[in-house]
Order: sequence, then structure tokens, then C-alpha cells
Amino acid sequence: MKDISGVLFDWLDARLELRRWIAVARHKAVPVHRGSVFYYAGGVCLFLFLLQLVSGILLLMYYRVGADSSYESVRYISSQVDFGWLIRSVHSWGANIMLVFVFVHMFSVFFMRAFRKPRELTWMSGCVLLGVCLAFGFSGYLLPWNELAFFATKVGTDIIGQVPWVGHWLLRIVRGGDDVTGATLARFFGLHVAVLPAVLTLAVAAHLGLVQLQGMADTQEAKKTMPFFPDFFLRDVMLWLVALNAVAVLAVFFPWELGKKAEALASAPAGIKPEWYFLAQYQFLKVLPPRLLGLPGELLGIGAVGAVGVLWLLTPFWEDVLPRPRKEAVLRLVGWGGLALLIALTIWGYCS
Amino acid sequence: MRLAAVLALPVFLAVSPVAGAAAVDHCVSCHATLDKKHSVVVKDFAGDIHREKGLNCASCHGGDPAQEGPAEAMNPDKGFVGAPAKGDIPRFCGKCHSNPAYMKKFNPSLPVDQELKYSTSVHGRRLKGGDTNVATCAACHTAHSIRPAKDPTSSVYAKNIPQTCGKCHSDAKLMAPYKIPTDQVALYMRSVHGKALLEKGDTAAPVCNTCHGNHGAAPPGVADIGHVCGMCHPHNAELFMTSPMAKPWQGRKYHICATCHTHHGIQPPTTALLSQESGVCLRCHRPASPALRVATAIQAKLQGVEGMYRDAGAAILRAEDKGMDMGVARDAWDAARAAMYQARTAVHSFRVQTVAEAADPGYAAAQKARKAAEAAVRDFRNRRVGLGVASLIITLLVLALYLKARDIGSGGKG
Amino acid sequence: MTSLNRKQFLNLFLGGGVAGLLASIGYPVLRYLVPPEQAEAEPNSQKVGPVSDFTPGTSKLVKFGAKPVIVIRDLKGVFHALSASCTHLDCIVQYSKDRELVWCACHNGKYDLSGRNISGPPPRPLDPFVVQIAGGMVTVAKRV
Repeated sequence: MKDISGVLFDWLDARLELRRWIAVARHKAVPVHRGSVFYYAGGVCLFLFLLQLVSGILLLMYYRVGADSSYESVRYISSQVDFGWLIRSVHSWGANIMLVFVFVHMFSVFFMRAFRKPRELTWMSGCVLLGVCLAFGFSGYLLPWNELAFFATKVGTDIIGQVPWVGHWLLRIVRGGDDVTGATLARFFGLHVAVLPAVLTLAVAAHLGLVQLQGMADTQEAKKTMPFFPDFFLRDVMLWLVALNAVAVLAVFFPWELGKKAEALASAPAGIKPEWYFLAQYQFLKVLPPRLLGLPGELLGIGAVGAVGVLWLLTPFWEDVLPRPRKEAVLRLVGWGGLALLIALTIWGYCS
Repeated sequence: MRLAAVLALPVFLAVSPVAGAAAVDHCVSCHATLDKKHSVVVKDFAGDIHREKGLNCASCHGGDPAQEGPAEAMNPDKGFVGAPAKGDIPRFCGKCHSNPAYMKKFNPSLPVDQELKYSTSVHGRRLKGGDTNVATCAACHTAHSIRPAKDPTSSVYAKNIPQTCGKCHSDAKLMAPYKIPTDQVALYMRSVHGKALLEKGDTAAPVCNTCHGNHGAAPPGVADIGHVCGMCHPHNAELFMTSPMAKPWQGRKYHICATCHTHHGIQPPTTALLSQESGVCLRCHRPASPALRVATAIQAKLQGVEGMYRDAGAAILRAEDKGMDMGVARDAWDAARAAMYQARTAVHSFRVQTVAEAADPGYAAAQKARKAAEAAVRDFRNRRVGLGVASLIITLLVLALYLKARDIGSGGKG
Repeated sequence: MTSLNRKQFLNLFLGGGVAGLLASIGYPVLRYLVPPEQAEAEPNSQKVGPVSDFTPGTSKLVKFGAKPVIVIRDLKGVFHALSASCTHLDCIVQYSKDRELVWCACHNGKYDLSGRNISGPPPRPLDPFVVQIAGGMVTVAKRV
């Protein structure tokens, strides 16, 4: 009577206690309300990361790091290897779409106040994940060693040199020298394919483990819920498939450009700017006056950006000590104000 | 006009080495006040290479610039010779320019045989015979604003030479008594060499003096044209000289190269030159002759490779227009172009086999390029088709999942 | 009865969809993993033949990646490797044994054996390559 899937299921269950895990998953409930569509955002981030992992490993089969070979190998992948154009564009677009969803996920968690006790660690591991994703984006962008990437990295790392006391030393560590060279490329490559994936895996494991352990923040008060497995999970998978399709469409209709190979002695193309996810900070630093309150403008800017990052990370803690009547107003201001400011600065950076 | 000359005077004096010596150069100070005909020389000389090297009016014309009055300054006892007669100009300039010991002081590597060469030229021989209408040193180099030939403002700088020679040689009235055509400059400007020099700025391109000589200017003799063209086109010349055409042509004293390609208005050669209906071969050979059959076969080979090269180029552009990377195809296309040039050169052997040996690999390379470009265009379309198929599958799967989710939600088994 | 058929149909539909998805992901990935004919993006070094292939006073035109390179062994037995694309108008150059130089047939450009343009229209020297000989095999490499 049992079909093949039943036999397989029983075999695995006898060894992995599948029924037990399914029972746990069945008990896990996800609230259903107007804002619960945002619950899928985190899952999409995870899916897109897996997509990046697979496409990245495939790219590794042909990519050759080196000032003499990086560009040529990416050109080779995009033009000579069967479906190389697809793998490459999927990887480039996937990165951008993933970051969009990372921001959606992060802000939706903030607006739903899901950073509160007992989820402080989840929030902080999430902030670590944000930093890791941005580092992935920054390091990966240089790897094709094309003109745009070279100058964007030069401009982006120049800012590091402005940090007080340790700036120059930090700059040399990041760049592997005083300038952006093949040494920088090697360093970024090691970071991108070895260090960051390891860190991200650990952080994701912690983050997901905590989420599974603690469940959704408003489960108790929810009027209506849905079982995580299989209902929520199936819908999650549907969304992942849609995301996959979207990335494929982008890869086919808007293939990622390669442009010219990086040439250190060439002049920077006009209007060079970093990718959109760094544009807000970049534009902010750009428009600061040279001197403000008696200190160099850029220094204050870096300090401000750093302070904002730390405060964001420590949201669960400072939010807790806010006086009750003011709490909601402050959080709403920080959340919506911060989001609006980021969007405005990004658009401004894009247009200038 | 007098004002301009007067205004030029302080400039001249300020930079003149004579001024540095705190002595006034009276040649200049007096001439600057004269009418245009006698004062323009002051302005001209300001930029002259001789002045730059420290010479003054007296260095060539004699006399004494320190003297104020015209009689003293332009005293024949002080060596004053005035403006030389047309026929005396070569000797006037040769006073210094044919003197190696003197010239060594200024530029040891400058030749000192110009006067000698000039005496062998058509201009020089006619001048000796009393014809003052011909070109002398000053006609080409100007009298008082002489610059080195490598200086772009020089009248004998490569790009300016057609204009300089054309001053006389394009003048119908002037050339009428000599019965020389006056269309050379016009033809040259439209030619492949003229365009290379004047439009593309390639100063390696030949200009009047390259083939006719500078000072020993004479048209190349009939036997010489092949050698002259062969200076830059040695392979073509070599192939021609070993072809079946060489001996009969030399026997009949036909102009080598120029007979098919013309002298001044040389155009990039096309296969039309070999055409059965209107090609140059028909000037000597009968239409149905074995020679014409060779021409037709050669033409077919060239048209084959040129046609495929053009097709490949167009296909590559179409593919690049769609955003496809045509790096590898372009490399094959470049190889085809190199082979095409070799095939065109091989024409001068007038043997089909030689042309085929160059043209066939070019044809193959161009074909490879075209195939790659066409594959890229097909790939462009296939990507969209593939995406459509994949999207359909994903959509159906999503639909199936949705139905499954709904089913399970309404109480079915998981 | 109907619900069972519907469920079976749905499972089949689902299974088919999953299979289709795996195929539309697997097919490109598998094709991708098979290396193309030109196995290397752009080589940094390339073998051009055994030393015995190069008698002194001969040359060989090879393709370095996609670029033409002329490998010369001069009368003294020394190897030289230069870009074979003339810097004037890109014609392929050749080695002239009698004059110990590199010559371009198109417009009579001449280069010495280190690639310097010495006569005629070429405006720039030819790019040099490095020649390495190991185990009786001649290898040409990019000059870094």
C-alpha cells in the first residue's frame, strides 16, 4: 500500500527522528495579520544567499584571481563558457536583490519591534549579518577587476584612511598596500570566498537557531495563526521560486556589464560612485563641509556613521531604557526618519 | 599696415640678439617704417630659423646694420648685395648651405648638397637656361620666414607641401607654356596617400617630394616608377618584377605601377581593376584571352574573401548591438583582414595560385568570424526562449504549490 | 474518489513541476561545467615547440591566446619573441634572416630584433614577449 515516498520517509524517520521534528514544526505557529507578509523577507534572504553560494562556487570553476587574469577570466566566463553569462549575471543580480531584501527584513523587524527581549541576540546577530553582507558586496564588486570596480574601490577605501590615528594603518591592511593593486584583489578574493562565507554561516546558524527557538515575536497575541510546517513553509518556497525567476529575468534582459579592464594610470571616469547600498553614506560624507565644529568634516562624518551603526546594533538596550510615554514616538521617528533619510541620501547620491 | 610694422619693431628689437648688445639694428629699424612691400620682411623674419640661430640681415645680404644712413648701411664696400636676382638665388643660399665647415657650426647633420641636387633638377636646369618662372629656394622655403621641415608651421612640412608645390603647379596660366597638367595636387588630395596624410595625419604617407625628390626634383623616369613606389611597397614591386608582365612592360617602356594605379590620384585598389567589362587589363588584353581568364579568376578569389570579410563585419556589429561580446570573433576577423591585404598584394604576381594561397585562409577566418557572430545572435534569441520555458515551469510549480498549500490548509494530509 | 484523483493529480503536477525545475537548473549548470574548446581565458605562457624545430635563422608565427606572435631564432642562435602585429596598420610582420631584422611587407616598416621600430611608417615598437627554454621545449610568456 505504501508508495516509494512513504518507504523513503520511514527509512529516514527511523534514523533521523523525522516525525519528531515535523511534530515540533507543526506546533510552531506563525501569526497571520496585515503585516505578516514581511515574515517571508528573512527566508528570501536565506534563499538568495544559497543562490549566491551555488552561483559563486560555479564561478570559482573558471575565475582566476590576479591583476593579469581576473578581468580576462570574467570575460571568458561571460562570452565563452556555456551559460557562463547566466551564472555571472545571476550572481551579480542576486547580490543586489539579496541586499534589497536584507534591508526590507531589517526594517520590518524594527517596525514590528521584534528586537525586544528575549530577541536581543537575534537582532544583534542580524546586524552582524548585515555587516557581513555589505562586506560581501564590497569585496565581490572588485573581483572582475574592471574600470568601474577599480575606481569605486579606490574611492570607497580612501574613506578608511580618514579614520583618526589608525586610518593609514587600516587603509594599508584593507588595500594590501598603499594603493588598490593586485594585492587588494587577492585580499578581497580571500575575504569573499573563504572568510566571509565562514562568518556568515556561523552567524546565520545562530540567527536561525534563535528564530526557531523563540518563534515569531507576536505569536502570543495573534488572533489568527498558521502552522509553520507545511503552510508557511510552502508559501515560503513559492516566494523563493518567484525570487529565482525574477533574478533569471534580470540576468537575461539586463545582463551585467563588464566594461574595460582596470588601468591604474588611467583617469577615473566621471561620476564614479559606489554601488547603491553604500551610496547614502558616501553622499553624506561628500556633502559634509570641510570643517565643522572645529573638526575635519570627513572625520565627523565617519564618526557619525560609526555611531549610528553602533546605536542601531544596541537598539534593544537603549530602547529599553527610554521612558514609556516617549518610547513609541522615538522609535517611530528613528525608524521612519532613518529609512526616509537613507532613501533620500541614496537618491541624491544617484542623481549627483 | 605701417602701424603693424612699427608695432612689430619693439617686439623684434626686444628679442633680437642685436638688441641685447645694446646696438640698434638699423636694417630693421629703417625697414619697419617703410611701405608694406619693404616692411613685411621685418615681421616675417621674427620667426625665421636663421634669426633664431643668431644671424641677421647682413649675414645674407651684407652691409652694416650699425650704420644709420641707407648709403652707409647698404654700402657695397661693406659687402651689401641687396636682394639677389632670381637666377642668383641658389648661389646666394648656397654661400652657407653648401659649405660643410660653416654648416657644421649650426647643425652638423644637415645635408649640404641642396645646391648640387637643385642643379640636376628640372627647376635648376631651366633656371640656368634663363627661365625665371621656375621655383628657386625662396619659392618653396619662403624668403624670410624659413622654418625647419619638421616644424608644422614650415612651408615644407609634410602636410603643407601639396600647397607649396601647388602654388605654381596648380596655376594653369603659369604651367601653360610648359604644357604640364595642373591637376596633380587636386588628384593627390583625393588619393589614398593624400587622405592618409591630410585627413588621418599619417606623416609617413608619401607627398610630392617623397617620389619626386626635394631639391633634385624631377619626375621619376619610366624605369624608375616601380622603384620609387617599391620604396614603401617592396613586396608588390618584387612580385610584379617576377611576374609574367615584367619583361614585356619593360620592353615597351610602360610605366610600372602608374599604368594601372595612375600617378597622383591613386585610389585604394578594388576588384573593379580586374573586371571583365571595364578593368585595366582590357587596355592591352582582348576580352576572351587567357590573360583575362586569369584576371577573372583572381578577381573571383578576391571578391570571395572581401565579401565574406564584409559579411562577417556586419554580423559582428549586429551581435554587438545586441550586447554580445564578440572578442574572439573579432580576433578571427582581424586575421581575415591581414590575409585580405596579403591577397591583394599577391595580385601583382598575376598568378591565381599565389593569390589563392593568401586568400583562402582569409576566407576561412572570415567565415569563422561570421559563424561566431551568427551563433551569438541565435544565442541572444535562445536565451529569451529558454527563460520563457523556465519561467513557465516555475509558474506552474508555484501554482501547484499554492494548490497544495490550500489543500493542506483545508485539513488534508501533509 | 474525486478528491483522491485530485490529490494524485496534484502530486503528479507537483512532482512534474519539481522535475522541470531541477532540469531547468541542472541543464545550464551541467553545460556550464563542461569546459569550452578554448580551455584557457588568456594564457600567461604557451609552449610553441621543441628547440629542434627552430634552426638558427628561422622564425615561426604562433597564436598566443588570440594575438599573433613571431618567434625568431637568429643566426647566433638567440631566441626572440615579438608581437607580430605591425604598429602601423596591423599587417603581420616577418623575419628577414639576411638583414637580421623584422620586416613588414605592407609599407616596408622595419624593426630590430628587440622590437624597436627603426625605419618606415611604424610609430611604435613591437611588444616583446619572454622566451623560456626548459627541457628542450620553447615557451613564450607575457612580459610582466
